[in-house]
Amino acid sequence: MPPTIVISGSVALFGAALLSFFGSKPSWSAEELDRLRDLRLVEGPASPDPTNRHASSEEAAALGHELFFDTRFSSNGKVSCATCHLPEADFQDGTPLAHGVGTTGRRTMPLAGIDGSPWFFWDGRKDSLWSQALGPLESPVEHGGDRVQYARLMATAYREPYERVFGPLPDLSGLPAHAGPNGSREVRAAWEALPPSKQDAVSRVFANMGKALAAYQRKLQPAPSRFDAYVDAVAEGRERGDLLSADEEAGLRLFTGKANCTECHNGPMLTNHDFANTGVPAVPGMPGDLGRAEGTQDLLEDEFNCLGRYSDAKPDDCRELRFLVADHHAIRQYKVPSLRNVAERAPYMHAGQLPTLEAVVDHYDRAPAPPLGELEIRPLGLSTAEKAQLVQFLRALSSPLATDPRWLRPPGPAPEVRLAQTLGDGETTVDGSVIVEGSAVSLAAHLADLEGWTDLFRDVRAMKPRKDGTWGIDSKVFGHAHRFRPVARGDGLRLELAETDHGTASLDYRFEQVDDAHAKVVVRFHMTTPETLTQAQVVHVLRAKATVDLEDLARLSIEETP
Amino acid sequence: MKTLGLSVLLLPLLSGCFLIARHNPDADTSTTRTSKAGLYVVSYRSEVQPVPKRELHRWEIELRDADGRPVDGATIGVDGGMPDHGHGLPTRPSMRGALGDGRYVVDGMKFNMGGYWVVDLAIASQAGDDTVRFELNL
Repeated sequence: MPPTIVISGSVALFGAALLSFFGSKPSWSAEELDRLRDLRLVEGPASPDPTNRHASSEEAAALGHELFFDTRFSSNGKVSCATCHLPEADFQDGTPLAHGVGTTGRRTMPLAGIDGSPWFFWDGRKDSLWSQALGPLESPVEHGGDRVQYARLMATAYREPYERVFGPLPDLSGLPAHAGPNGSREVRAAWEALPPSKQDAVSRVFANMGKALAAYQRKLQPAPSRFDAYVDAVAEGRERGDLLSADEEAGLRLFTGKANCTECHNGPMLTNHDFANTGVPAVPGMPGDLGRAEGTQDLLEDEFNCLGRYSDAKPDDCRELRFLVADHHAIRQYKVPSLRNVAERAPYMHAGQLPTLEAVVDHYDRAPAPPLGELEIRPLGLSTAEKAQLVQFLRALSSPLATDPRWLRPPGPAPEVRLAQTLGDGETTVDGSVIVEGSAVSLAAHLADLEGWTDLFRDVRAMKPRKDGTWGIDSKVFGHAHRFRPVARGDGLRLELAETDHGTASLDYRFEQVDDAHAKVVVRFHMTTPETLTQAQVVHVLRAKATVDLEDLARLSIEETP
Repeated sequence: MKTLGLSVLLLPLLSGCFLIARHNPDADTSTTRTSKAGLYVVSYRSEVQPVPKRELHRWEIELRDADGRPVDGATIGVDGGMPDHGHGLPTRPSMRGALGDGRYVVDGMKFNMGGYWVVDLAIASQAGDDTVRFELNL
């Protein structure tokens, strides 16, 4: 045996001895391993949904994709599902309360992997993905419209794709412009005046819109995170490498142990899909909120529930509804949300009451009394270090979606983004361009107004480093992590890094007219390599940002073009 | 109800640790047990094997009298929960029907987390009323 191998072998043995002496990698018992495996993401298509016979139809998904991004389905022509469920932000909006045509009383929930749940909304007032989708459409503070308005729009704008999936549209002639059971007094009166057969025909079109939206949302599935890779490695006895840091691993042990998180956050989506009263404070100034105690009543009375006439389920498929517990324990119980990508979507809880993961962990540690109902958690007695470890672990649950990117942007052909990079000594330049419909002058004019930029950059994502050396997309609004200063230019805009303590960075955007109908958006991003990054990471950041920005600008120009 | 609440408060103090979704090593997890007063020998079989977490499923219950004869014409009530956590079942399961030969279907069973669970059946027939408890480590 060559001596070098003997030496490295003894070094390894010495290392192993050191590890065991200094508290080494923790090992997991068989029971703990079972508990870890239970949390592993199950990849694959969405769960079956007997209430929606079109749930897995590609044509229904394509129609749902159109509806999801169409702002005409609202009272002011400005609100679509994507207004609050932002695809680039894990399909949520990063604000405590959702803003449609008005302000709701609840936090927007993310959508990926949600199809497997028997209950929807924070209070469980819906029992299928398609019937959930109908709620916001008729809510006076979300889309604000009514079902007759929507059925008429389906007939004029989506007749062909609708009829391909659901069969012939009913005769909608003679209907008023607006009528529905959930609108203003006038809208409700118009609805009451309709014969039951017309009401039924309209409600069926409305229900089918929900079924198309559900077919689309079923495409949105999470991908394995570093945590899942760690469970795989541990379960198969493989080397864990640095899949989780020592702190994250300690946080995982707390998650499944002392901190009791898996009591509710269990299973592949890190939720039992159930409800709990965890003492989340009421929001001052907001009306009383009984949570699931109200939700179950709404659900039992809902014409769109599993047992209703618009559901495709047989009564035997509706066992969740039939065996539902509806009693006083449900007071201020709220849905146990999935923890996948939880670090990407502050603030937390059903009305965004807690601003950070640290605040959430602190809340569970203290277990304060609820405003109403029975508290279902107990104080944990975590140390400051343990709380930090738990937060570290929660950050390891992030991953991009395992979804074809075409579902993550509005329907239509993807803009063709071109990129090139120039590497210098300690500095990097990325040039990019995209051809868009419209005029350079109108694009530049629109964007000369800083307000327009602020809106635009809702969509632009800052990047952050990950343990594996790649960069993950951070859903933070651009400018929060780093402040950039806008500098006006005649033909576009230049943003310069405002902070001077980590090098220089600039983002240039220009618009050139190509022909009568098309303009070219050109970006040049330049950055010096900061001490904390490698040049490869800088290239990755700049390329990713250029791609996102150019796609966003192309989309903006399409929306602006009449 | 009061004692249940008290035990929930005291348990963490008494056990000196926190309530985790742990198995109970002392649990008798057999699927056939004699009822409390000895009137019935009761077996259960989950339609999904092993007993699943977070999934609604049915149990088949088999009732025999002390002499091993099938008991027909019985009604079965279902309750249960996690004694260590002080909460009941997340659903309200109920007897669905009789298959004959002392066999019955209970529908709506659901366990929304791993750990130690109990399922209590209240059995009534011409032979009399009795209860039986099944223990599960999920």
